Amino acid sequence: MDFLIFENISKSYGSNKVIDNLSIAVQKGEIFSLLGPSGCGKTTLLRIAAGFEEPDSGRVILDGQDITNLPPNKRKLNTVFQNYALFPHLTVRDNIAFGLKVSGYNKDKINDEVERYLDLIQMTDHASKKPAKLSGGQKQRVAIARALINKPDVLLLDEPLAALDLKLRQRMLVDLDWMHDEVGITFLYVTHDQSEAMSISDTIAVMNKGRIEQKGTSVEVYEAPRTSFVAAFIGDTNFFDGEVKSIDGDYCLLSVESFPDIRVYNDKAVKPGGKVYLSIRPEKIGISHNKPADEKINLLKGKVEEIIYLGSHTKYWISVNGFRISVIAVHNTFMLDIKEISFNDEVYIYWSLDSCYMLEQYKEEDEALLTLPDDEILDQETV
Amino acid sequence: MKFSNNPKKINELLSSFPSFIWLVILFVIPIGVIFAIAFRAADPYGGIGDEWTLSTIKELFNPVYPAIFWRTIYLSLISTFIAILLALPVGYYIARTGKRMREIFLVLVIVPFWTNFLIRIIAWKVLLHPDGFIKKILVALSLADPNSILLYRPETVLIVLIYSHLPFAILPIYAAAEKFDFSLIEAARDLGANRFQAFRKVFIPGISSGIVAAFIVVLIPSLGSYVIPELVGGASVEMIGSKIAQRSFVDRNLPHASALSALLMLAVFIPLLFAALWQRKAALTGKAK
Amino acid sequence: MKRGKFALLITLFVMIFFYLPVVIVAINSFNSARFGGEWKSFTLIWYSKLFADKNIWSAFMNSLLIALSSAVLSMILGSVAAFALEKYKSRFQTIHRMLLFSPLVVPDILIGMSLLIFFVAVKIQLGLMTVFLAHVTFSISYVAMVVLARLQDFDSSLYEAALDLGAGRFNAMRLVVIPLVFPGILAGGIMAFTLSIDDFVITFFVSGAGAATLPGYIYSMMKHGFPAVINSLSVLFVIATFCLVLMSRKFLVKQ
Repeated sequence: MDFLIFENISKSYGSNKVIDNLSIAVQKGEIFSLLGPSGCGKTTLLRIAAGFEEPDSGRVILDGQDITNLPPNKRKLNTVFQNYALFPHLTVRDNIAFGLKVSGYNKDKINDEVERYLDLIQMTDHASKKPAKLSGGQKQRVAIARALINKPDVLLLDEPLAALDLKLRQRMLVDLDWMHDEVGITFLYVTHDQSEAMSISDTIAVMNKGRIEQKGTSVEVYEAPRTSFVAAFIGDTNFFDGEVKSIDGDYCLLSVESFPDIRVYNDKAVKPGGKVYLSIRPEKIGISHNKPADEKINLLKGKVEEIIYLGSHTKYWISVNGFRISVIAVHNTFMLDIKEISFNDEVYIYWSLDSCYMLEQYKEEDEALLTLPDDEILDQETV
Repeated sequence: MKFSNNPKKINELLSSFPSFIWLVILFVIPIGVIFAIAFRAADPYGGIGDEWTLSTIKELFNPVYPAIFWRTIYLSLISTFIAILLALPVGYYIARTGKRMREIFLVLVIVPFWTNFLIRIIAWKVLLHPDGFIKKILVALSLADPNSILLYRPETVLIVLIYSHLPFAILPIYAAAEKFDFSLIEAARDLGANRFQAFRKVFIPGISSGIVAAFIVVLIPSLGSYVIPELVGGASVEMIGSKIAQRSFVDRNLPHASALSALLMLAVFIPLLFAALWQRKAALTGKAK
Repeated sequence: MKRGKFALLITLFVMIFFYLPVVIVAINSFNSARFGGEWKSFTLIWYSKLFADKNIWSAFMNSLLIALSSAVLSMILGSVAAFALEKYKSRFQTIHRMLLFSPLVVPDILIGMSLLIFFVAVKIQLGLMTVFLAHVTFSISYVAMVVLARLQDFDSSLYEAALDLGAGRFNAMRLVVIPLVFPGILAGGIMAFTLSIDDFVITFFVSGAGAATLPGYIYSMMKHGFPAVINSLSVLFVIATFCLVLMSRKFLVKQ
């Protein structure tokens, strides 16, 4: 059921429109992520939900009740801040107990609940310490417990893992997921890190410049991006544009400049003469010295320009008629026995007709999100 | 820092009013009164006369005054200049020193800063007394005549002015030096500058806001000095401040003292204006604050 | 000479310059000779005379009374002003800020003079009350400055976290902001106390009788010759200041 609803929210700071007529609904019990680059408005939207910012227009509805004009302390929402915001003058125990104390619960009940949550986050031994003596991961757990103990309707998390190093982040993600299952509370999670969002979320909303570009499950958003922004922001991709030459059943044929014709699944019902933009992810492209036999593929011939070996996979930059295409080959066999693909090799690259996807919207500026090699220098890639 | 997004206007006024009202009544209005009373005559019993007049202003053209004004200005400027000159290496050194020593040095600088300045002046009177410590040393070194008097000279006032105000110069310069990125000096050395050039061309412009603050914080009290010229300067080294005090308490001529004060106020205003304009120019040209 | 060494030398010279007079005075306070020209013998007589002098005690009590009361009031007024400056960014606050910090750039003698004329003009009797009013007036700015610096370093997300967890605005201030800012407020109060105890010029102008406070009494002692008791008084003053500075720096240490 639609549990937390943002209805036509707009917010500007001066002439800067940070949120542009945004409407979205979070289902009860799910982990919902707002994913986007810095400045896209995701944190502002979270703060509007928490009550620290007021929208210029629109409403926020929680469990059927319009909370737009409620002050933060009266909302049944709690926030986990990016910098944890633990009270430095209080112990871990007093930090966690804070919300219950100001709500006037009785002492014994508070103590019991605090012990429960200390145990949940495995900080019972550190309960009397002050935040200055805690590590980043420990502070994070205390911040989460401090929020959860109040049993909010929705837990708001503002880039909670941003300050942690990689390994710790991965561990905390698992912890968060587990905690979510334990307490069954709805999470609204804000982050700029796509792998965080994809691994933990039930639903992702990709935000850019104050708007939602796409909302869906992790798989939907990755495999079927609606816009070039979504395709380029999450993961890596190659863009093609072409004109529809003809339609053959479920598929259409595109003429693409400098390339042989490309066949693509026609899920957008385009007509001949129409312009189409495609996204094809590098791992969907096969690479070989030998021409593949399969007919139901798009086939290109090109020359290997760059090779980046990354252990579990290799990323290739293939030059086809002056255009660069990135290809990722996953190594699922023992590599030392195989004839390698080397620099300047002539190779075939190919992908199945269903693997490339038609975009609803394309903007050239989104190409900047892809890491492309300069002519002389190749950036280090982390896929 | 944002507390909440909708501060009620009432709350803002309520929290500002106590200090605002207090200062308007006990600071702004009295200063205004000074300018006003400059246009009244003294009444014979030492109070303020009842009529408006320009006679008090005319009294300012007393031939004694130009020398005093001039002396006030150049003594203040010289002492400010020397104080800043001394404060620069000290601020530089303390900012570069390790955490523990830094705290010690800062306490050592702040204690004189907080010590009653009368007492510090008294200390100098003792030091410079004809039978005092310094005199004995100077005589022993044949640098001074046994009958000479070290006190009651312009040089003495200068030294004590510097002594009193040096902590005020060191602290803002130190504060700016603390925020200064010293790797810039290393970069300058790397590009070929010697230590002195790096100091002059990189460090000094870098802490310029601290220097301006030090300038103001030393010059203005110096211009208004009263106790120092009175206690260690004597009759031959009068400054505007001593004259104001004399007119108020000895001559009991309040309007005249008022007029002098108004003049001093205007004199103080000039360096302030200069500093404010400098800050604005620095902000516009993007210099670090 | 290396730049580092040069700076160190000047720093040491300045430190000696600062403390030499004080050291000489300290030595003299134990010297039975009246002036530091020669050392006669060790004595505590200047200290016992100090404690026996009733006038000094009453001046000291006056100073203490005024310092405590003006420190408390300026602590309140200055802190509230600093909160207003930090929280509200409006044109009114710009004027407020200018007003608040103007006394810092006006020489003592002008503040003293203007208050004297003001009190005379509105016919307020000069005395301890006028001294109190004057001291609060110049202390507010210092307290506001110290508290404002502390507030600017304050992490605003802590206040938001308190609200988020259910505390009303008043409780959030009471339980989170004030405890964390209070050391700064206290440091401001100590500064106000010290400024008040030390003040001479402004007090001189507005105290009427002229000898109501300790500095005033010291000054009048100085004008009538130089009782050696001044040395011992000075030493005690410096020691007390030293303690106050140390205390205050403890409060200003960031958490």
